[in-house]
Amino acid sequence: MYLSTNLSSYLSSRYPSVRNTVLMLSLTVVLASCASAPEAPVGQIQAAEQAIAAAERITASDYALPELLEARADLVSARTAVQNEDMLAASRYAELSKAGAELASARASEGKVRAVIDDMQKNIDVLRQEMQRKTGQMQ
Amino acid sequence: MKILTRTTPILVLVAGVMTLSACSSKVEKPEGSYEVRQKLTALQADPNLANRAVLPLQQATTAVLAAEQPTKDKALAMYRVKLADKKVEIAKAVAQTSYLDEQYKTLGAQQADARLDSRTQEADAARYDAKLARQDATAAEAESELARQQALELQQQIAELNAKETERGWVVTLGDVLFDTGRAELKEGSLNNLSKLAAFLNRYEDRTVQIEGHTDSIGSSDSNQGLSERRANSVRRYLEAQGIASNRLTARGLGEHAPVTDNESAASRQQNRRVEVIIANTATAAL
Repeated sequence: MYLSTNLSSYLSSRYPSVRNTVLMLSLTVVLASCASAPEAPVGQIQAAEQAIAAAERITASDYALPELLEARADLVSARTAVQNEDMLAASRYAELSKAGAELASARASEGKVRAVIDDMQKNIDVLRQEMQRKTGQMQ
Repeated sequence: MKILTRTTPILVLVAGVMTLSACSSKVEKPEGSYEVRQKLTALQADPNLANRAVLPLQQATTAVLAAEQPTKDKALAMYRVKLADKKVEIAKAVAQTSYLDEQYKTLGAQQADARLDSRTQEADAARYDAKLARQDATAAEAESELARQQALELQQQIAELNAKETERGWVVTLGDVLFDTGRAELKEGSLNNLSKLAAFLNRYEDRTVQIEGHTDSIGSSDSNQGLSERRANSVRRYLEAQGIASNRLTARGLGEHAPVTDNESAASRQQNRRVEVIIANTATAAL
């Protein structure tokens, strides 16, 4: 910018007729860069895909199916938005998809631990009942 | 510079007005952000969960703060609220998982304890059963051992008495060495056999005794009858004197009428001259 300003001032001072041309040119460049569509959120979509894959690996569909389905739907929406060149929406859907997949994973982990604990609790109860019965027999 | 100084109060005023207008026109917090904040607050207030899932909780807090930012962009507001909701739920699930993990460990220890208790108790019960069985066995053994010893003892004693088992009971034959010829008084020097009998009867108090006197065929039948009765009574009196109850003792003389062998020789006649003591077999007899 500093350079271009120097250049334009140098040029305009040296060749006053060029001054307007330079101004127009730089303006055009600025406008063009503004008009060009923002890049597709490839990284965010990939992150969402990876999060969904991770959730599927720990069988989140068994414990958090609605969350997983929502994450997949958001991923589809993100891709559709990219096709429609609505990159802002694509970015948001990708972010929601990733968060949804992480939520599915978190709930799956919780569900698994809970199932194990319920099992253990039952085991302990059975053991204690047996013990009480046996104690009853001994006395 | 002078101009700038002069315009400063105006600038400040303008800034102030702008700030005020920003305040007065302050947009309400986005719809749904209040609920998300409440969820987050509840999670932070839960003593079981608050100190777990530190990073997800930080992310959730950031997301909720963003969701609370006023904006006229409804799509942005909705997006922020949705994202914040998911982040709060993630933090909650992670915290719950961590909490459950801890419970899992506690329960694991409890289960191990319960198993150990159960096994200990099983072992105790087994030991207890074994002890009972052993006691039973020991008692039975002791009982049978006692019975066996008693039986053995009885057998030994009976063997010492030279008793013979017959249908009527144990028959102890006391030879005529007890008496002088024609006499009914017991000879002092040969009481050994009789004292064994007395000891036996004192020990086995449930046994009754029949005392029978016999003679050889020498002499008259009447005198032999009388002699056999007197000799039987002598034995009876001796046993009574040794403390045997008289109701356990019966004595009779059979004279020469029940010989054990012929009376042809001195040796066989000697066998016929005898007192037989018949010890009754009792129902409780161990043999």
